[in-house]
Amino acid sequence: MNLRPTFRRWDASGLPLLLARLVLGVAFTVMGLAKTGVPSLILERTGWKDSPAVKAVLASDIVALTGPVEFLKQMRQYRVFSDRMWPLMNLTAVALPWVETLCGLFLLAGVAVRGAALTLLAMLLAFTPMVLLRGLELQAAGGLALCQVRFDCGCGAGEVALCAKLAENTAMILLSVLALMSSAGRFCLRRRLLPA
Amino acid sequence: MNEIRRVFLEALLICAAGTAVGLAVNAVSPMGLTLGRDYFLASRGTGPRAAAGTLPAGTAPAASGTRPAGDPDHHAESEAETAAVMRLRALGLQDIPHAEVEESFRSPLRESMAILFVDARDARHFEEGHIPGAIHVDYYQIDRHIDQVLPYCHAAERIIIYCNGGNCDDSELLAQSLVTVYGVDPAHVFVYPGGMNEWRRRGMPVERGTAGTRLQEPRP
Repeated sequence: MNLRPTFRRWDASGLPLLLARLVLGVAFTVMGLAKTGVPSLILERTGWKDSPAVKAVLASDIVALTGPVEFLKQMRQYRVFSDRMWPLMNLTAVALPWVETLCGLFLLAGVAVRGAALTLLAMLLAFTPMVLLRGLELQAAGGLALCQVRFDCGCGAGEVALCAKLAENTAMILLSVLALMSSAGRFCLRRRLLPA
Repeated sequence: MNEIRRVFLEALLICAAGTAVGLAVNAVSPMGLTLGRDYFLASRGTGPRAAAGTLPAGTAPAASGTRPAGDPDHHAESEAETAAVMRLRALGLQDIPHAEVEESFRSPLRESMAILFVDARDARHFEEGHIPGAIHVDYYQIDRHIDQVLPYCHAAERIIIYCNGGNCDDSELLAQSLVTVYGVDPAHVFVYPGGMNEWRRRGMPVERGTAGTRLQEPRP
């Protein structure tokens, strides 16, 4: 069965892309910003961190506000870089959250949609196996069932359940592929950043 | 322009822009990383003691030296703490069991700063609860604290450094850094592997807020 015409008809409405952009955009803007340290600083400087609404959000485990130091430590647990590659680790800890944030904002605005989707897809494809491997390590060390493993994966949401995180990442990989493949231009400010 | 090439170029531009924004924010943020600093130098055991593989003569550890080598601890209560103790010993650092930490906490020498408790965690964790009277030295922001704290460290007879315990390695990184970078006598430096987790688990008092021990003046 040839699915291409069906996909094209479905895609032409612009709604699937809009949905993918909104989900990915919100997720990566929030998760990226949470790791930059900027929201923590703003909440601290303004005194808003003591407001009940902010406390409720932070206690809900939807988002964990950290900063470059925490992200550096979380990255180190994956042992992607050896400790001797510390300049690269430092640079990644500083840059990656902002790359995530920019991708999220671009998708929300509908700017450079395919470029942002490709960047997210690359990060998700690199990061998801690392999360799985780290989860398997913790499972072996703790003698737990796979779905009982919980740890802070450095995703910006604090401690998460491994199975839930893997399912979430799989969904985001599919949405990134959709955003990359879609040729719809509706609801986008500037779908192509560079001239064709 | 070929569509595939254009998409890759867009992706590269986004990565470059993200890196530029990250570097700019890092340069002005008080939470920023020092890009030229090797934060994990200490964990590689580059200090003289670790390189030699043994403690220098005359620095017999008060706590761990009394236990047979390779005995991964009668006091470490979790696998993570046992691993931490093994790491400390491989680095030539001294670990200290809870009983001795508690004894030091109750000692009058603590009042005269001959015994120092040093909290190596970040400000948020310190504010949420620390050992009463502990000095806050965030390992990752060490430049902010070290000038004020170092004279006390050189003068103290016993410096007990802790973080959360378990998988937390901030205390060992700080201990190794004090010894190898700042020249603090290794015989006086101890790491409490159980950290705040064990301290709380044993029902010990916890102080909240930013107080700790205020070091107003550099020690003469």
